[in-house]
Amino acid sequence: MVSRGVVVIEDGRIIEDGPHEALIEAGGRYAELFRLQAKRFQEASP
Amino acid sequence: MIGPFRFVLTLGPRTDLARTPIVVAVAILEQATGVGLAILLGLFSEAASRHATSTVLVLSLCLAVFVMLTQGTFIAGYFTRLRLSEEIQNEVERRFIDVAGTTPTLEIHESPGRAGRVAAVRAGRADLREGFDRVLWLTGAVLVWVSSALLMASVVPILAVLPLFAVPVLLATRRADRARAAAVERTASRTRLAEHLFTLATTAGPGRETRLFGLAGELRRRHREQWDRSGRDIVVAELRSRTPLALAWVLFVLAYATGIVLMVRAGLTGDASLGLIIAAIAVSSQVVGQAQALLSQIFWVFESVRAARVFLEVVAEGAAERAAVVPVSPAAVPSRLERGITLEGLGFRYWNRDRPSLHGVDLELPAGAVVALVGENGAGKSTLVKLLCGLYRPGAGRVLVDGTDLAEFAPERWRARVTAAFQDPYHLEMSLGDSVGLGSLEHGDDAERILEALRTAGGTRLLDSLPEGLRTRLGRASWDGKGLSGGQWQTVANARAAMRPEPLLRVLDEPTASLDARAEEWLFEQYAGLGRSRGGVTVLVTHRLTTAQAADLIVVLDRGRVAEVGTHAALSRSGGLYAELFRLQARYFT
Repeated sequence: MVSRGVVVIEDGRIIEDGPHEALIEAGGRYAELFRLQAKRFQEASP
Repeated sequence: MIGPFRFVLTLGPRTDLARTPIVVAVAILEQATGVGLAILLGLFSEAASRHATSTVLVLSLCLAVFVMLTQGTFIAGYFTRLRLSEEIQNEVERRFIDVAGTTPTLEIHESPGRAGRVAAVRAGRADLREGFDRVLWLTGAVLVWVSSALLMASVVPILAVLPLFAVPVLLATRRADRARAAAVERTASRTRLAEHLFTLATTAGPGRETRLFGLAGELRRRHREQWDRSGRDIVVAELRSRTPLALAWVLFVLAYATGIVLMVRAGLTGDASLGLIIAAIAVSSQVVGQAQALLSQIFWVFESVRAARVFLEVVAEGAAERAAVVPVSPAAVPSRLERGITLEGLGFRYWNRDRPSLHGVDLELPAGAVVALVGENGAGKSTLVKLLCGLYRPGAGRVLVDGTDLAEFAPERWRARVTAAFQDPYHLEMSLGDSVGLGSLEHGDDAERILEALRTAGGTRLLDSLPEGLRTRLGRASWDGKGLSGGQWQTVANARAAMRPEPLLRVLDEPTASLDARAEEWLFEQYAGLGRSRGGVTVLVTHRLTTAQAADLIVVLDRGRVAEVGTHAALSRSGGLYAELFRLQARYFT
């Protein structure tokens, strides 16, 4: 399989694979993790 | 000389009084074999020349008993000797833990001279272990030497001075040994480097990188380079002392050759009895071997005494540090902070550096606050944290705890009220329960408390994934335990730091660096509430500015100085270093 951008692995298996934008749109595990990190920056931005 | 020698000599009886006499007997008896046989040979010849058959039979019996006694003692005593040596090593190791593991500051591990001596003691443990045995064998060798000389002197009195001819040999050996020791000490830094290269190339931790980058050959080459260079220095020192040693040895051999000629002449002129001369000649045949035994034992005793001297130096340095650091009548550590921790003109320079790592740091860390320390690599964050923990002595300025200088507290009393999770925490390979519980010795067995600490640190998922719960053995380096990921080890360290109730100072040094986003979020929610209402200060060292931004106070360090202090909002508005760093990190998320 040809990877296109981000590969998300959980419990030893690939669960998501695709470019950043697509994974964010899909709203899966990657989007959840990204949101967690982004939240802090967005909240904190002056 | 007396100090370390006495130390070596008393290691045996101090460690195991019961085994010591057996070991002493073995050491003396085993070496007496040669002289004893020579005397028996003389008596045999005497009896045979008189055709005294019954005496010969009695002597045969004596011979059998003597050989049984000497050889039998040696065989029977072998394991006793071994056991005593092992016990001595264990005792020495425990004493060294007492010394090296308890100094108030980290200087013993970090200042180059002291660290070198600590490494020398670790490397010289075998010399300490064998020291007592070596002294006994030396004593045996000396006794044999003296009795041989007496035996020969009874044939030709002048031969009593023969042992004196060994003195130059001994002096030359001692000089050569000192020169060698000095050369070894001069090359100690190379030896340590070679040791490090060896560890890199042969242990599990660095195994990934050494393979990935194909480093084995390069490490091997460098290892050889270090050894070659230090080896050359040592060889030069050895060569220099070789000539005096050879001259002394020639003098000694000539003297003994003369002695034998004199004894043979005494026999021919009938000045001494046949048996005595045969015994003396038999002994003289062993003289070279005896001298060599004596010299090698002296060399080995020197090695042990030298190891003992370094050991005692480390002990003395530890005591001196303690005397300098621990106040005679320490101030009481407050039960809770009312005002906070104040840094006044704090400065610190590492032993081998020209420039200070911290310089003129003035700060107020208010009680109950979460203070984030941020700054680029090498800004002095970790150094500041170690000063707060009392692990370094300030080079300048002071740390005030509610107005009392930190130096006025007994270091262990202050540290009992400090808790910390350091960056790259050392993996305590024990059961999960112990690895967390050791954060507070008095509560180390309290399972409820350990579970609570794990919850606080977001370790519930880790706990659930382990088949034997708190009893799961962790780590693969020292036993066949469960291997943890970097983030999991960090969670264990964070839980350990959460074991101490209501600390006056809580240090979290990059607590989220190895954690995944979810674990970080969990920890973030947890510690956001910690510290604030409890009369203590939480210091959070971090590169992740999202972690820092929730702190009450953010301190930005830049090249050992305080660049900015303020809240996230204030620092963001001011447009300084913090605002710039925050923008750099946020641009991918906003």
